[in-house]
Amino acid sequence: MNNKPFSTHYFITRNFLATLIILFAVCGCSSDRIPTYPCRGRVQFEGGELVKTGVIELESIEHGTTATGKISPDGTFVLGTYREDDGAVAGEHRVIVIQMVMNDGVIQHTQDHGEAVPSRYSSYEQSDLREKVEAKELNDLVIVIASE
Amino acid sequence: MDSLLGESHVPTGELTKAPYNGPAYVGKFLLHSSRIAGPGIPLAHSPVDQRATEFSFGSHHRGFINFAFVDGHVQSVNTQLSSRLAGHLANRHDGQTIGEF
Repeated sequence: MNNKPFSTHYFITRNFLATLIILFAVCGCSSDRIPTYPCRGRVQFEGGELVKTGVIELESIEHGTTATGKISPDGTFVLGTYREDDGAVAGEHRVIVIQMVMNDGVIQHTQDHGEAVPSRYSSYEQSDLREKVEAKELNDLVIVIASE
Repeated sequence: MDSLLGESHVPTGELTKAPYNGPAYVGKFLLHSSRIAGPGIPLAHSPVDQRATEFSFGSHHRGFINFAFVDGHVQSVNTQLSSRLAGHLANRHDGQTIGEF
């Protein structure tokens, strides 16, 4: 039996080690995440009317990370960076609000989209909205859109 | 380096259904074959990501989306990529260059 060309045991060990190394490499991805803090809020026009549809996004000026939230028909949103609802990183953010409604005949638009948000709010270069996210349990943001 | 093709976000239960996963050869319906990336249109983290829209890129490989780039290479892109960078990847004439990501 000693004249076997190679040992099965050795191969199992080597494969096991390789698997471990790959596992560590995969787990390592999460370590570069920046801490996030829960954020929720409301988007409304100056006159108090709610924004009823769209997406709000905050871009951290310091880190470049983006936190996104879908705007509900009641104007509210919850932000998520690495997960749907984990909030945003602390610090100053540029804010944009985007509304896209496509009418290609496939999606049936039966809901009331409300007043439209001016398109300049959809660009980080043109939107003048800023918000500060604090390292606390819950940030409550009110985003006010100036009508054109 | 711009991306040319990418996986579509198709929520759980929407496979083979319009508009998310309709027949791509029907050019009339943009969403059957096309997706958009950029500020306000996040890459979907998963098929159940509620923040994603019908315009989003996404994948049933959680956390990663496969993209084909204009030089022919295929790369798995982390869904944590910022929307601004994703937008640069998706736009061939924005004049922006992208380093390692």
